[in-house]
Amino acid sequence: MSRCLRPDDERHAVTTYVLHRNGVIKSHDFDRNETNFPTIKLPNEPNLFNDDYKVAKEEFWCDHSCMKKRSPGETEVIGRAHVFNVTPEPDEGPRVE
Amino acid sequence: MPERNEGRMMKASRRAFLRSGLAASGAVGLAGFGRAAAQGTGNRANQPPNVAEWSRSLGDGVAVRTYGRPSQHESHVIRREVSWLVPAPETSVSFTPLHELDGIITPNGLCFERHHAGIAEVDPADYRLILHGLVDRPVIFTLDDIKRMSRVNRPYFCECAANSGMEWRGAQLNGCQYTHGMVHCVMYTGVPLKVLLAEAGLKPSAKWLLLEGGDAAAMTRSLPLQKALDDALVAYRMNGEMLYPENGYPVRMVIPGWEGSMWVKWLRRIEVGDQPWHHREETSKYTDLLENGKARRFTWIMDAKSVITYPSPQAPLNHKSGFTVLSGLAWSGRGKITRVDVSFDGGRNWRTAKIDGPVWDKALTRFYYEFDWDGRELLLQSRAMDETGYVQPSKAELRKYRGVNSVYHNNGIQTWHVLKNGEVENVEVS
Repeated sequence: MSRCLRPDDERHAVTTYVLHRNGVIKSHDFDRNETNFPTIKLPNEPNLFNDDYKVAKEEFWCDHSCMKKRSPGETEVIGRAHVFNVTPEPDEGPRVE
Repeated sequence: MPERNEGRMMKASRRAFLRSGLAASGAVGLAGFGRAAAQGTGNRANQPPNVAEWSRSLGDGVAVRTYGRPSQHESHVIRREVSWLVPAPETSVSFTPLHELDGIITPNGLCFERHHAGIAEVDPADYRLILHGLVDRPVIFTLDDIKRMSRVNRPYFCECAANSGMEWRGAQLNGCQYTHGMVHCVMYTGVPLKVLLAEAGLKPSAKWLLLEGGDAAAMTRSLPLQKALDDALVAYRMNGEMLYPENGYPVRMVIPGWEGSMWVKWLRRIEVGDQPWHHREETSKYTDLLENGKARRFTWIMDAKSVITYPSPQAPLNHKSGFTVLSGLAWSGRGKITRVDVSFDGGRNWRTAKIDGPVWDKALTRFYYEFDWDGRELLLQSRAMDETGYVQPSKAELRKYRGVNSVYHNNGIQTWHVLKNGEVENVEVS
């Protein structure tokens, strides 16, 4: 059942367990509380940066001008979905009465 | 390989077709219509000059079907799932059958689903929307309160950020339902979010909103105030009807042009704050990990994208040759679609498709390209452009920046390989 944990001990215990399982909290003795919770950093937190397409991918805003030069040379098929055979078959899926 | 010069191919095809068509049967028109009837498919007893069984007796009267459904012969037109994608159906996705639809409006019962903890079955009598945080007066709205406020009608596409997410490493799923079916487009009726916020009164320090769903996952996303005051809607109707439970009954967020995960369903609570909350769905999920270890976040906008829905792997060319209407959808989270090009040779040559029907801001847009198919292999592609001048990139161009670790925001150009027998495959081209 979801949303059934008591906001005090139970929620603290479960979050601390999850953080420990994932190696975010290393010590077994870490006593997580309201004060030290905001000090916990996620592993890749410093590497998050805001969407920068407008600058980094400026060439995507090329209107008509770039359309010619973006055409590839010789076109070859280099991959086929059916090789993986992971697409559900047409007769799979829920039955409709 | 497809012909380089499509004009030459089509002229040649027309000549060849005239010869073979006239020789085969004088009764079949130039475009090849009438061929199937001449071949005698189906049950002859129901075809002219015989009187069909449905013409010989009374049918159901009115109000036998108090809520109409599609014909029994259309029972294959359903949302489908890919069972190996996720561990449980309660936190999964079902896909819109784009290849079975035309126009730009998705029927309510076919809109793709994405849940994080299954469907919340909300009793409208107990529905409450809490608005609190950095406001002058916290408010709790009932559904009747919301329906009594001034409202607007707006058609918008909603696309999951993970649409086409299984295709980053190459062609994998054989059908546009699976490669592109996490998108739908309906007419919403709702209250502009800024109207609700004005009821509570924003404090000067207000910068962000937390949107929380009433489902068992308590789905949450942080929304910048600027978007909230621009065009975000608190919607309760889709195509005139009350929202369906799987789409957030009775109230959901509509965040035009932005990734579907922000369109919080079963909307329960809006908290006004001064910074983003950095919850699960904007850190571990819905961020784009690049090859260099850095990760894009707050990648809200769904960039211009398109897909050919016919022909496509689930909707092959069954007419051998002749007049063909290629059909597809284009959309952009940045505004209106201004142009769609199609290629028959994997992106070497492009011709402009015909856009048909209304072109609405941040809505699905229908395009067609009519041609005489001469039974040759084709490498079909489509490419959308929006009013900001953004041109849909190829998958190679996208991967140059994004790598292949990504799940979200794959708007690269799709290639369908049409074989000589009319079958269509999802392929990756160089």
